[in-house]
Amino acid sequence: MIIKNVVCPFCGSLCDDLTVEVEGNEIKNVDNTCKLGYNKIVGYSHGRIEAPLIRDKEGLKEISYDKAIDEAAKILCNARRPLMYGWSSTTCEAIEKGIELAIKIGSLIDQTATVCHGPTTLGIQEEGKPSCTLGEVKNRADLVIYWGCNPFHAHPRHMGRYSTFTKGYFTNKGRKDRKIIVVDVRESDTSKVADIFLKIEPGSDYKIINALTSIIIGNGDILPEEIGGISKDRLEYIAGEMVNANFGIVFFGLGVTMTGVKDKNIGSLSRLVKELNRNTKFSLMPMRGHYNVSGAGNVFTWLTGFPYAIDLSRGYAYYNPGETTANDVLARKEVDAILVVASDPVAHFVNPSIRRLAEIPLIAIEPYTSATTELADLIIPVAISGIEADGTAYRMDEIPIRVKKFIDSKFKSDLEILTDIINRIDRYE
Amino acid sequence: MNELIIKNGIVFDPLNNIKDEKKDICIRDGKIVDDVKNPKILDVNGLLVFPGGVDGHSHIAGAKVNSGRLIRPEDGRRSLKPKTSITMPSSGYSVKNVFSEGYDYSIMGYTTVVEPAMPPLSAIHTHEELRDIPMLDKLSLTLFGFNWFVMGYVSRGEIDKLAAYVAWMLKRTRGYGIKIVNPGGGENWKWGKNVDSLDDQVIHFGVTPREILNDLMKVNEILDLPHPIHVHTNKLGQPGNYNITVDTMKLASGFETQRGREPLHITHVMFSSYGGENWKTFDSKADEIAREVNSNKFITVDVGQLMFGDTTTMTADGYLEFNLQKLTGFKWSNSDTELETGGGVTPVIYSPTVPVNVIQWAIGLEAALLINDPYQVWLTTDHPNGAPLTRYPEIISLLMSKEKREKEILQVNNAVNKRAILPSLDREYEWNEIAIITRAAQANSYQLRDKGHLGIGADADVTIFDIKPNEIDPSKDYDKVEKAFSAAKYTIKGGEIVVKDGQIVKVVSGKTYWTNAEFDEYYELIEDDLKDWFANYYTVNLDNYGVNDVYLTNPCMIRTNPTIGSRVRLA
Amino acid sequence: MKKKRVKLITGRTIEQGMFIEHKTSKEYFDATATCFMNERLIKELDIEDYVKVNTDIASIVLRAEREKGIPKDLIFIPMGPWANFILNIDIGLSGMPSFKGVDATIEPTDDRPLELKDLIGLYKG
Ligand SMILES: [Zn+2]
Repeated sequence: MIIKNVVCPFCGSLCDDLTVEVEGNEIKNVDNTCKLGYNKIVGYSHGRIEAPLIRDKEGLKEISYDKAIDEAAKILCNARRPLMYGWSSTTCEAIEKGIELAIKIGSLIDQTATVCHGPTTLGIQEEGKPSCTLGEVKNRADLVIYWGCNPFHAHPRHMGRYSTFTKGYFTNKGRKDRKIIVVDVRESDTSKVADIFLKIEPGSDYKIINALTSIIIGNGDILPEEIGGISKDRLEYIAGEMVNANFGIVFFGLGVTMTGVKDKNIGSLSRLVKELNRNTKFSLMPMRGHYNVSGAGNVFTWLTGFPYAIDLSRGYAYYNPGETTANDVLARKEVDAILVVASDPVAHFVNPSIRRLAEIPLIAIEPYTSATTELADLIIPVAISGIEADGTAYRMDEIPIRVKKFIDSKFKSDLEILTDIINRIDRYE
Repeated sequence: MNELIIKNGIVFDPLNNIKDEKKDICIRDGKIVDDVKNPKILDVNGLLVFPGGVDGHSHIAGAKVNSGRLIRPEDGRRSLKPKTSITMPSSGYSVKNVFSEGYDYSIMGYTTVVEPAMPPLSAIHTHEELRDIPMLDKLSLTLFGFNWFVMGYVSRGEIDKLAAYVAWMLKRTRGYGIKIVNPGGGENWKWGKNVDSLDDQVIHFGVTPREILNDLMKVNEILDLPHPIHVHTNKLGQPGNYNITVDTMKLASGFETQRGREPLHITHVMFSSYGGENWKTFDSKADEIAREVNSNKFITVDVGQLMFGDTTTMTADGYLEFNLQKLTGFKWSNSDTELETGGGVTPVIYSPTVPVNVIQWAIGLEAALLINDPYQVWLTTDHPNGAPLTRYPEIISLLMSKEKREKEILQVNNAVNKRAILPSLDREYEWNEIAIITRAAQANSYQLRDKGHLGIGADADVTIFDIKPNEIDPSKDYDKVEKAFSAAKYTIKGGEIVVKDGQIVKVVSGKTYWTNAEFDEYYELIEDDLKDWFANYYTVNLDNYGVNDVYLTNPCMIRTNPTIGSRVRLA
Repeated sequence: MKKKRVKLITGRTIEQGMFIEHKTSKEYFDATATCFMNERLIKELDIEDYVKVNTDIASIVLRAEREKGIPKDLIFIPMGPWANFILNIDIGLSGMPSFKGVDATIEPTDDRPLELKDLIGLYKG
């Protein structure tokens, strides 16, 4: 069977034009996909955890699903300061259920933006987010700036489908109609296709963004001759390109959110884009990593009022990044149990946080052996959303698309497992 | 059988011409009935009884609202309330979380609310939030005002295809009706520009706002849609815009409809009733607007009342938000949506010491007081644009009491005496008129036959306020009025008591209405265009576009009788 | 032994992403237990195949790989368990640890990178 218009459950580009060939209950082939999506979809059946596992002194041993739900409910109910973490690679429906559980048990809940675009959130909470959908870029953008991001590696089809090589209504010559600028600290496969590559000193983003803003608002005379490794002349030239564009966009990645003054970088980028809109049309878009990290932020926000790093122990949502963010509550050794859904924090958190993860009961709802399952005390295998379970996901531009199920799984989905845990806790109460 | 009788209430039910009558109301299985056998008895002994409240324009769900919540954690922190044994945690003052939206409306006696700006491409998002809002029945209006298909069909005069497209889109987005924001101008904003009059050209598309409005009004009628075209006028929020508003209203003049409702609704008219040439010469033209409404039976408006304090503004009119942000310097978000629509969000502080804000405050009240027929003017704050929804009780008390208005006028900038006419207006709303502008008019305009009244067969949505209309004088006891409308004694939703003494006592999940205006072979008319444009210009596949019923709580499809269909053939 | 101060940045690579669901695979190990450095830096320190990277919190041994476009005072490690072993919590109050622009020193080594299981084992006890 050939299934068309399948949505790729890998990165924030959320390409929805894949063709998957399924025979029996197996995937034979995937077309229109990048290497990342191909490996995830074709490789979906390799290395799966086959049954619920619990750790005792000798190691992991199999238990029944029912017993696993029981153990999970017990761990969460007995915890005084539980944390529920992950969410960016599952459906919005599962995330909603997760928040319901967090409210029920008075848990901390955080999502992967905390080690990704968390500073973006803080930056736009200062300055706002002048943005647009990817189709606006496709149809209109004559200037595209990739700042601190490398779509060739992290979002391989982004440039082809949305932002550089694609043709659109007002850009019917595609790449020829667009000027491409890349800003990064090192050369990358993306910088190789740029018209202009600005190789900046590490950590100098903030200075350079603000220098561009100064030039654009007419205060360029106060600037020194060189900023962050770039000459003032060259910055003036870039500012000119920005002002003269009909429709410009800055895509930015972790090179900006993780560097130097982090959230302040994003605030200043937003301010730069705001100023540019006095002269022309300009937008800003974070290159979101996981396919539904944007959905996680959205669901968190409409249900609790806040996008991540939420403490529900008081009965209401308390939000204070830097205090309630996952790495902080772990490194402070506050957390005494953790439920991980659709994420691998042991691979992506920092050393002091992982040390705490090793000390406390860790439940992982996870399809594969991962760094996190190496430390987990209870592992519940799960169907893979976007392949074996359907539901809603949000693209990096906040556009919701329903991901498909095209393989039947013997495992329950994140949504079903979380529902079972909630029901089990209800039975205890 | 689930029966309830509300005894001895003083009932105002304008759509059934019941006014100030001591009358029992019988309820069985969620509906109003003529008698009951074994009911639970609710003796409300002289208290004020209204049909459940209907808010016809309130931004409660979708991308813009969530972007407001996202950029304003400081607003989220303002009204934090912990969960209870039955309710979920609340947050937010002007941009509330979904739970708080449902609870706060219900506590004030509202039972039906319309989300008036659904971007088609993110319609799933709007419906996900609507699904999660408890306590209320819900509708949403789909945005069409600067959509490429619409402008293309208008420019080529293909009215049948336009009708087919609107019908398809309403079904695909589970929308209830046509919303038009800054017709044509929104497309120009995508190049950083706007339109200045009804006859300005949309860049590249060769159409004008006038043509877009006229054709969509025709299509609205051809498709027999329940609600008028719902219009946010061009130049909204700009000094001197009352001219274009009056011009827009005149488009509907003489336009008869099958359903006997108006063909055109002008929303949050306060923001469109501005005089002056700039912010320095800014003044109220509510009188001009009211004059047009009073002489033009073919339009309705809603107020969009502004109240002092801070709030969050959000609209599909991105140009407006950008300009507001230029005045305030506050944070600003924009969201242009491919081929369809756009939007912006920015916080604002309305101050009683700032002349412009004081005049804006006066304009809303003036419009409500100067328009004679209350069925032509619903009460809204354009939540949260003019003020958060929780400010309704205060506005009701202002409309009911000249004394309260005089007291307020003394507190605010003197501009109100020079560049507004509020101080000279004596009218005081009566209970019956309040019931119309908060219930009957809106139910009527949306043709929600089971809403906004208490006749036999209506949905048993009832509000009982803790006030005895025959024992108080609202023009003097305005504080009591405000207090009573802030917290219903009882809110009954679908026959169940959901609020008692201003507290949520039962959490329910409402219905979602949408309009199906399909006609024979409507899809064939537009199929090639859809396939072509989706393949070339959209970034989402046609197959993956739109909403299905899994996102709707208790979906209710309204079927219409389009006067088009089998007789329509392509030339 | 020669030692040098550098700035460490971590980030995504396509290989890291391709095998992210298969963390115990050889491909993931090859993709992430690796340090990308400028050729001149490798020469200067006489690094052969392996490099030891030290930060304020820990040290790790990685396979050293040449990369042309990277500045001489910068090293790049793909995001993952090996990179993160030497990253610390941040004091910046944004809740975001520093994954880029971290102060580090590097030196040649004859040791080999740990397998995932052994690396994670270091966190226990
Ligand atoms: Zn509105």
